[in-house]
Amino acid sequence: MKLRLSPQTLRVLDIFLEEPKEWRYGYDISRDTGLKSGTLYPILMRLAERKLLDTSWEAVETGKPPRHLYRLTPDGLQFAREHRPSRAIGRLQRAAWSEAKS
Amino acid sequence: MSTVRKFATKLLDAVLRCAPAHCQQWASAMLRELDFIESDWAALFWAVGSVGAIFRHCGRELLRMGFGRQEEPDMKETAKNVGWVFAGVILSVLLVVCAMGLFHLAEYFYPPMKQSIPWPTWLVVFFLPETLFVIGTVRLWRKRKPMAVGVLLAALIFATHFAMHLWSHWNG
Repeated sequence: MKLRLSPQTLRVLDIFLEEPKEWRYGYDISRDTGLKSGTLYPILMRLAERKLLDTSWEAVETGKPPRHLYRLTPDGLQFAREHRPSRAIGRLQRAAWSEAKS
Repeated sequence: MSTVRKFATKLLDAVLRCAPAHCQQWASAMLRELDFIESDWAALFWAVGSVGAIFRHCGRELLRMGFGRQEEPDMKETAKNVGWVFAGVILSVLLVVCAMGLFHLAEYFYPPMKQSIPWPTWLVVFFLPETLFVIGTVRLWRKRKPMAVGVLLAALIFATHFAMHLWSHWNG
C-alpha cells in the first residue's frame, strides 16, 4: 500500500523524528504540528495501518482513563528519515519561489 | 464541566458506542484526549473533527471489507450469467434458422408444399422448434439456469412473432 505523502503527513513524521524513541499523545502532536484532529487522526490511522506507527495505551493508576500513545516503528523511522530530504527540498523550493515573487 | 464540553464528550461518546469494532480504538483515543484540552470550544472542535475522521475511516474500512471484496466476484458472476443468457438466445435462433432452412429445402424437393398447406409449415417452422425450446428449458433449468432463461426468452419472442404473423395473415 502506498502512503500519500502530503505536507501534513511530512509534518507529523517530522515531529516524531524530533524524539524518535519517545511516545507521544495525540493532542500533543496536534499542538506541535498545528493540525486539527480531523486531519491528524486519519494520518495516524494510515501510518498505523502501514505498520509505520506503533500505538499503545498508557498504563495509569486506577480510576483515570488511559491515553493513547504513538511512536514510529523501526520501519516508520526509516521511512521518515528517507522522506525528510524531500521536505527540506520542498522548503527550499518554497523559499526560492517566494523570493522570486518578491 | 461546561455545557459545550459536556456536548463534546457526549458526541464522541455516542460515536464510540456506535462505531464498529475496528474503529473503537481510535474513537476511544480521541475521546480520552478531550480531558486534556484546556479550552471548551477547542474541545468541541476537537470532537467534531474526530467524528469526521472516524466516519471517514469507518466508511473506507467498510467499503474495503464489504464492497471491495464482493464487487469483483459479483461482477464476474453477472457477466458470466449474461453470457449464458446470450448463448441460449443464439442457440435458439440458430435452431429456428435450421428449421426454416429445412422447410425451404423440403419445398424445393416437394413443390406442392408451396401451395399453401399450412400444417407442415407450422409443424416444421414453429411447433418443432418450440417443443425443443421447452425441452431445452426444462433440462437446463437446474444445471444452467441463465442459459435456460435465454432459451425461454427466445421461445417467447418466437411465439409472439408467430402469433403476430398468423394474426396479420388471417386479417389481411
